[in-house]
Amino acid sequence: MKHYRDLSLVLLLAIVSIIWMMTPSLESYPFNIIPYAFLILFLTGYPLLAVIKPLVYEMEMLKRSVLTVNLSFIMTILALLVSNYTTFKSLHLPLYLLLAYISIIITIVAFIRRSMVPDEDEKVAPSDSHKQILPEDVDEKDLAIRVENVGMAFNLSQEKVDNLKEYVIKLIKRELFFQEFWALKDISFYVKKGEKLGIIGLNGAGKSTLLKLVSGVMKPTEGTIEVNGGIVPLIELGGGFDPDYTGRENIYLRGTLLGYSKEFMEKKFDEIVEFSELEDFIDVPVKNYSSGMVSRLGFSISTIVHPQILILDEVLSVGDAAFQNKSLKRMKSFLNEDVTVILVSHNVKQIKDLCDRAIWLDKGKIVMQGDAIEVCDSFTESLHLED
Amino acid sequence: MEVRNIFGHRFFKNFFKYRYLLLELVKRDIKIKYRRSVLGIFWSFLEPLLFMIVLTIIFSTFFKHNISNYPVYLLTGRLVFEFYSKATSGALRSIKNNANTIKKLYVPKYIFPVSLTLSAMVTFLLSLIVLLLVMLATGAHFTLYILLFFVPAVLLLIFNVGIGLIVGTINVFFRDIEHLYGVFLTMVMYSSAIFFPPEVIPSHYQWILTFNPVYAFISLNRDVFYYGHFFNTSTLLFATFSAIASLVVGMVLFYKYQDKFILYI
Repeated sequence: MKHYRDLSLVLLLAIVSIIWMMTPSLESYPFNIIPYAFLILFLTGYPLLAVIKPLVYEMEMLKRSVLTVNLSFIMTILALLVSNYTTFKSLHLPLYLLLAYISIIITIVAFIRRSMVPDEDEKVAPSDSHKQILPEDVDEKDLAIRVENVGMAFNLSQEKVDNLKEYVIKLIKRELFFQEFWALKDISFYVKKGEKLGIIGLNGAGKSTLLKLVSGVMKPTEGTIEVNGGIVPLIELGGGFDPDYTGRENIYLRGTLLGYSKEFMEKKFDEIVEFSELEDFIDVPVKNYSSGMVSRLGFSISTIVHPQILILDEVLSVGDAAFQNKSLKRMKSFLNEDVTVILVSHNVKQIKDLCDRAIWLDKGKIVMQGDAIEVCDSFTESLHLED
Repeated sequence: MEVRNIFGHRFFKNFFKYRYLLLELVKRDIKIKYRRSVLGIFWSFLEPLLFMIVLTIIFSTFFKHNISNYPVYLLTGRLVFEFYSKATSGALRSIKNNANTIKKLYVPKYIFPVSLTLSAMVTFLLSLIVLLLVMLATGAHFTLYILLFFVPAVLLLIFNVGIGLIVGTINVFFRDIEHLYGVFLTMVMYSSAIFFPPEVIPSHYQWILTFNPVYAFISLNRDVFYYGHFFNTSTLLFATFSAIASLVVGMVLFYKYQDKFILYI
C-alpha cells in the first residue's frame, strides 16, 4: 500500500514538473526553479532518509527510497526529452546527473549499513500469560472499558540530549531510546458497564498515569485501550481554568472543553452556580478565588451531566465539610445509578464501601485484582508487614 | 477508504463536536486581549491607525516619488504582516500555554493553534475597516476588485494555520524556537516591502521578495486595495501553493507528534 502512495506522489510531481517546464510563461526566473526543487528533493531526500531511518526503523523504507530514486530518474529523463527546456538541458544537466549519482551512492551506503545492523525490531508477540482472559460469563458488549497489555514508557534520557550533534550521535549509537522508565507495564483489566472499580497503591505506583491513559489524555506506548461511552474525568479539579476569566466565563469554557454545546450550558448554568454556592463571586476572575472555591466550581461543572463513565482521582475531599457532604451525596447518586466508575483513592475504607472490584498497583504492575474487599485487605496487610 | 465514509471519520466527528469550543476559544483570545483596557475592542482599529500615522510621518518623505498614496500602501502591507505575525507567534505558544488543559482533559490539540489563528483573522478583518476608512479619507481610487479581498485573506488563513501547526509542534520539543521566532519575524518584516517600495531592494536580492510567501500575500492584498486590478497570476499561484504546502506539512507534522506533546509540556 505504501509503495502505491509513494509512486503516485512521484508520478504526480513528475507530471506537474513536466507541464511546468513546457509552459513558456513559467520559464522566467523565479518559477523555473520549482521543478528542480522537486527533483532535488526526491533525489537527495529519500536516500538520506534511508540512511538515517533504517538504523531505527525497518527495511521497508530503503526499498521505497530505491524505488522512488529510480522512478524520478526515469521521469526526469522523460521530461528532458519532451520539453524544450533549453536552460535546463544546457546548464543543469551535469549538475542533475551528479546529484543522481550521489543519491545512488548514498542508497548503496544505506544498504550496507542496514545489513550490518542486526534485526532487533521484530516485535515480540505478547505472551499469553499476561493477557486478561475474560471470564466465560462476560459478554464483550457489556464492557465499558477494556485495557489489554498496556505499557507506558517515559524517556528519562531525553533531558540530556540538548544539541543536534549529540542527538545524531546517540541516534546512530542507538542509545537514544535506552533509558526508558516504564511507569506501567503489562496492565490488563476490564470494567463492565455499571461496575465500580477501585484502584489502590502507594504513591508512584502509576495510578494517575493509568487514569490519564483511560481518559484519553495520553496514548499508551504499547497495548490497546477500548472505551465505550462518554468519559468525564474528575482529575485535579482546580486545574484547567483560565485565571483571567470570570467564573461565569470559565463555566462556559469548561463546558465546551468537555464537548457540550453552548445552549446546553446555558440551560444548566443556574444549576451549576447554585451547587457550587458561588453566586456572589460568579463575575469575579478565577485568579481571585480561593483554592476551595475553584475546586467547588470544577466539581459542579464536571458532575452536571450524568456521565456514562466517571473517573475520580481523590476528589471526594473538596471544600469544607458541608460541601463535602453535598458532593458525596451527588457521587452516591451516581454510584447507585448505572454509571461506570473508576475511583482512585488512598482511603482504603472508601474503596471498600464504594467499589465492587479493585486493582492493586505497585511500581507499574498489577499485584492483584479481584473482589474489592479481598484486594483491600491484602493491601493493608502488606503495609503492616513492612512496618 | 470510501468517499461517503469520510465524514464519519474521527476528525470530522470531533471537529463537529468541538465547534463550540473553537468559538469559545476565539472569543476568549479576543476578550482577554482587551480586558481592562478602557477602549477595549477599539484598539484593533486604533493600533493600526496610530502605527500608520507614525510611519507615514517618518517615511512618506523618503518615498514621495515612488509611492503615490503612502498611508494606503503601508496599511495594505502592514495589516497582512500583523495577521501573519500575531497568528503564528500566538500558535507557537498555544500548546505550551494550554498545557494545563491538555494534561487533564481530552481535547483535540490542533484546536488551540487554530483558534489563535482565527482570532487573529477577526482582528485582521476588523482592521480592514480602518483601511477602507483611510482609503476614503485619502481619496483613494475605489474599484470593484476590492470585493475580492477575501481571496488573500482566506489563503493567508490557510497559510497561517499551517505555519502555526509547524511552529507550535516544534516549540513543544525545542523551546529555543520561542526566542528565535521574534528575530525571524523581524527578518520577514524587513524582507516583505511593507513600508518601502519593492524596487528599493537591489536587483540581485530581488529573489528574497519572490520567494517570500508573506510578500506574495501582501502584494495580492495590494492588488485589490491599492492598485485596483486583478491579481498577478503567478503571485496568486505561488501564494496558493505555499498556503496548501504549509497546511499539508503542518498537519502531517502535528498529527505525527501530537501524542508525544504531553510528555514534554
